[in-house]
Amino acid sequence: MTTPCARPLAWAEFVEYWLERPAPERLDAIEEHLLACDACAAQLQEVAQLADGVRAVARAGRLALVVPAAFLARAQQDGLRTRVYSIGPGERVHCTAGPDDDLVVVKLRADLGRATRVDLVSQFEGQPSARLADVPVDAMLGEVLLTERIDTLRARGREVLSVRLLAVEPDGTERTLGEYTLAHTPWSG
Amino acid sequence: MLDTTEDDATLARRVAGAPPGGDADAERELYRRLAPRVRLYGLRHLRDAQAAADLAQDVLLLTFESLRAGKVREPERLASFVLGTCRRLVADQRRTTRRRQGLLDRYAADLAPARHPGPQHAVDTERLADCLNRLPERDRAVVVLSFYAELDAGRIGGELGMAPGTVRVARHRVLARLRDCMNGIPA
Repeated sequence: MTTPCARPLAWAEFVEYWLERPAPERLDAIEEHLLACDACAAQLQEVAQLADGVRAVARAGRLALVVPAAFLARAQQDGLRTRVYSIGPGERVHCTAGPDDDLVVVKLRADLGRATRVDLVSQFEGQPSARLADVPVDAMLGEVLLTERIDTLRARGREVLSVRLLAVEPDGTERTLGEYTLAHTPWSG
Repeated sequence: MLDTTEDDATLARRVAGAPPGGDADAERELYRRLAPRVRLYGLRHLRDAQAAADLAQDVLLLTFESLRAGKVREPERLASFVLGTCRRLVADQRRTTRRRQGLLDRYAADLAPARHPGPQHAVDTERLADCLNRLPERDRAVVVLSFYAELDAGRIGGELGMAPGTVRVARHRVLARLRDCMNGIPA
């Protein structure tokens, strides 16, 4: 049984220690404490395991929906087999997921320059729409990156997904940035 | 006789004061405590499970040798001694890795690729995927950019239009949510 720590580090310190270098005056104290305290080492272990798990989920193509551009860059750098589609406002793309694909990403191009918040509304034919608020965007390239869990994607039959990007102003008014159609078909070789 | 409530300093003094191999219980208990902590240090600095395991072996070997030789003058500050040893060995290992990488870069084409078993994950990745995908979009982006893309808070802030301080607050809050989700604690 682990002895509780009399002066435990804060959860935020564990996370920041794992990811970035604390200030020099704190680093020695944190590292020495972690080498002396089972309870705090166990908390750091939780952070390490979650970090490892997030990487595993990302590499396995199990992240759904909108992803930041740096995620795609890292996935490609890691050697993941990535199928990328790029589609502009009003366009339709035929897409699929190949048996060897690790990741399928659709880049929705739009003029995002003036938008402070972008929402994404998606709807499969015959089903209710779903809305994602305040999605990450690449304003410089003018793209929103959409993905789906690769196992879910492979299981889909012929389906058509309509997507709308909306700029939402602080006063709540909305402006359509683009409408897109993704026509998915199963892999046919 | 082993009393597991003895602190590290007491165990260290027992090891130092015994003839070589004379207090196996104390050595075993001290090893049991220190090994995972040093391995964690190695994971943090080397970002590689095998390298971290190697580091733990090397650090503990040196630590026990030093204890037996009477070179750890302040057993109460054993953690400080271990930390110094960790830092020295990590610096050595990085130099070795750079040299090895240089050789690989020159001769890689002549080498057959090694097959490595996939990493063993301590968390249930299926459950974690579910927890991740339930997060609000920006929260998930912060976590993915931190732990997968390995961007610092400044660059993440640039990607998402957030101040670095806001990114830091968001990610430890979101990671706590993931931890709770994995442990079945309702949001």
